[in-house]
Parts: sequence; C-alpha cells; structure tokens
Amino acid sequence: MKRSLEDVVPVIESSHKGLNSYYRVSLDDLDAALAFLQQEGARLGTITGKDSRDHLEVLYHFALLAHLHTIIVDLPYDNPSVPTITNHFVAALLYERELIGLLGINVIGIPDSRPLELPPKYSDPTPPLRRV
Amino acid sequence: MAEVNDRGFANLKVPIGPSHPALEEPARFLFEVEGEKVIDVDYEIGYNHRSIERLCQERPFSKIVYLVERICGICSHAHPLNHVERVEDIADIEVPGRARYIRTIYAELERIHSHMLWAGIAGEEIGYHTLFMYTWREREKVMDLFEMLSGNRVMHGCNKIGGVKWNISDEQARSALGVLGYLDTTADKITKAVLQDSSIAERGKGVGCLSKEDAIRLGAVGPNARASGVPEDTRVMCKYAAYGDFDLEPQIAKDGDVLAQALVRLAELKQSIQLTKDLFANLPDGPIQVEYDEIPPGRSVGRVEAPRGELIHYTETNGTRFFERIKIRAPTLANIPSYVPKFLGCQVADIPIIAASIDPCFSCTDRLTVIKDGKRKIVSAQDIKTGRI
Repeated sequence: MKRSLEDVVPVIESSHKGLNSYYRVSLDDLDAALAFLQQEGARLGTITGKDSRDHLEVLYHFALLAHLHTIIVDLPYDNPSVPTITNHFVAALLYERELIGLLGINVIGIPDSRPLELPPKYSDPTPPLRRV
Repeated sequence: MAEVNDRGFANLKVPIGPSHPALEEPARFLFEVEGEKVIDVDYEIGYNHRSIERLCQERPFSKIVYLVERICGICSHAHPLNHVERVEDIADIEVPGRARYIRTIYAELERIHSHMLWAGIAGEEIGYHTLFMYTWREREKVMDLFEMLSGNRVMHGCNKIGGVKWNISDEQARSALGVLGYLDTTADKITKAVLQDSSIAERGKGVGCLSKEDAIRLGAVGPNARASGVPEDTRVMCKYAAYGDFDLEPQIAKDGDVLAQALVRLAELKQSIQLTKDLFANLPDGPIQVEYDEIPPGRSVGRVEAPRGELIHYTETNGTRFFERIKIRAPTLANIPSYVPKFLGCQVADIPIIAASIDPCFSCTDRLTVIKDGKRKIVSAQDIKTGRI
C-alpha cells in the first residue's frame, strides 16, 4: 500500500510480521478502513469469527499482492452485530453467512441471511463455535 | 399446470442435488428455467459439514496436523502444509531446505493428480468417456508414486511442525523421475486431444463463461480465476515452501469458459510435471526436520495454492497445548459465487459440465461425519459443540 491504513483510520492496535499485518479498529471506523482497502485494490480473502471468551472478534482478511492485511473488530456478547461489507466486497456474502450460523453474529443489512453450513433443523440456541 | 410468464414460458424450477449423478459432491442447486435456458439459480451447501474448525479447538496440538489432512482427500497435502507453515511462522521455526523441497514435491504431485482427475471428470460430464478412462488410468501412476514415497496413496502423513516425516532416497528420486517423464508424454496426449477434438471444443467453447471483471468482483481463485485472465497464483506471489527457488509464471487464459478452464489446468499440469522434475533434480542434502520447543501465543494467516486455488488458513495460538482458533477458507467456497454468472443463460444440458468446471470440493468447503465403527451415527448439535464425533 502506498499509504498505510494507519494514516487514514484511527487504529487501536497494530502488528506486523512477515507478509501479515493486523489492525484493530473500532466498529465505527470499519467502513472507512474497508473503503480504503477497496480503493487500494485489495481482495477479500475470507472472514474469521472468533469467540475470545469475554467478547467476540471478527477478522477481515484482505490480500494485496503477497501481503495479507487483517482488520479486527471487537463485538460485545450482548450485542454481537456488524454491518455487512457486501457493499464494498460482494464476495463477503458467504463468509458473513458463516458468521451468522457458526458464531451467531448479527450481520446488519446482509442480502441473504440464511446460515451457510448448519442443517435447517439445527435448533441449539448456542452457535457451534461459541465457547460458552 | 405451471403458470406461463409474459414471455410465453412456463415458470419451472429444476432442483439438482444434493445427491445427483451430475454432481461430483453434495450441493443443492435450484435452477429457474425458460425452456432449455437457465434464467436464475440458487445454491445451498453444508451437506458435508464436519465441524473441523471446532474440533481443532478441542484437540491437542499434535493431533491437528492429522485432522486437517482429512479435510479433503485431494488436498490432503495442501491443508497440513498450510497448517504447519502457520505454526512455524508463529514460532519462528526455520525449516531445513530439504524439507521445503519435499513439501513442494508432494504439493506438485497433488496438483498433477488433481488436474488429471478433473480432466477425467470433465470428459465424463460431456460424454467423452475415453478421456475419463484414459486420464484416470494414467493418474494411478501418480498415486503409485505417492505410495512409494510415503506408503500411502491419499493420506500421506508427510508434514510435521518443523519439517517432514518421510525422506526421499536417491533410488526413489530416480524412479520418480522416470514416472514423471512418462507423465509428461501423457500430458501432451491429453492436451492434444482437448485441442484437436471438435466435440470437446463445441461442448466447452463459450460455455459457462466468467468475465475477468466478475472473477475479480466475486473473489474467484485458482484455475477458475486464471481461466478468466486473472494472473494470480499464490505459489508465484507468496513463494512459500521451495517455490521461491524457481521461476514460475501463472498459467492464464482469457475466455473464462469451460475450454479455457481445461487449457489452464492442462498448462499447469505440464508446468507441475516440469517443476517436480526440477525439484527432484535439485533436492538439497541435509536434515528433513528440526526440533522446536514450545509454541508461543501468536497468530498467522497465510495462503497456499491448492490444486483448486488459493487455500487460506488463519491460526491463533494461546500458549497452551490447544489452538485458540483455526479458520479454513477452502478454494471452492471462494469460487461458488462465480457459479451464478456461469449458469445464467446456459442450456440445461450444460449444467453438469459447468458445475464441474470450477472443480468443486464440498468436503473442503463444508468441513458431519455420520459413519463410526462402520455404523451410521446421527450427529447432534451437542456432539458438534463438544466435539464428540
């Protein structure tokens, strides 16, 4: 990237190692960070959802040539909601559907909210990748 | 009687799958058709979900290499390779050169047999059974080679954190080079058949097209994207394992149709055979593994080029003997959205070959085992949560 993400968006925490860079941003700054990456020509690799025991995390992995840039946002247990990023990256749809099914994260504005992998009769109220 | 729309066609929906002779693996497609023309498509996956990501959090470190190897029978090297590279990145483990070369040899042999398998399936889908019988017979040579090198045809058990388990003797290398010379001739014959046979051209040219813009917009990867002119190959970009020691060019085509997919894979077949020969010829001396102490807390995300395209693993450790999180993005999941432009406007008869054209693998993508001790077991939600599968 000619400019760093840190020049454009307030970054809470960042780390870099080899071909990997990680940026933790607030939920309010997510859209600006994604708009910047889109402008830079980044391609969405995948989205990881994670239960960190006291909160949830969503990690957006973007490929820019050989480098992988990961944007991390923290979500509280009591309101695990993120806006859809399909407005920036259409390819995010299936990964966001994974977040809904496997981690019970509410993706606001997603065009298709059917859980991706779980059977229709899966009725346990706790999603499979939640730790509690 | 079906209702007739304003264009005079009955509103018909044709479900295909999850189990259907036209599909290699279980997925459900719902096609809306006007006569023989597909005008809309919806898809549903998840019929093979096995909760491997959850199991990766429930099993100790030492078992995860074996677990990820079982995600897919074709990419049984790509998954553990990406996994061990992530752990080695976190722990700063320097892998010996010979181990990097051996890992690359297995990765390229995997690509060779996968692309030959695809060529056979593609032939079968268009009714060209001779191509299917021929490529699958020749593919056995690669499987025999795997058996000679690792003792196993499918689950090679090659990777371990810090290197590889199986060394390659000079005699094995000589024998492998002989097989690769034979496969080179085979690849030429298959390519010639595909280029010269008019029935293959007619069933592939202009069928299931994906434009370069759509491939980029929909996040397509691997040969599926390269057939549309996207010059991205993780081996070339990321130079993992021993790929940095060789000059590789991404094999691309521009038409994005089924024929272009075939040509890209066949070019990669030739390229992989040559690369494997070079790897055997330049195999460095030295140890094949290093010892390591503990795996510190950390995270790593990385990519390898599986035969079907870019495979992403995200691995996070927490200083215990269990992984904090392992996330796997198989290439087929990235390629599924590209089905929509490929299917829209196609003929119903072309559905099987278009479905096969991205070389889908839903075992990788879904990642529910229902067979245990030879008996069928219904996996409950509780089983998934506790990892008791």
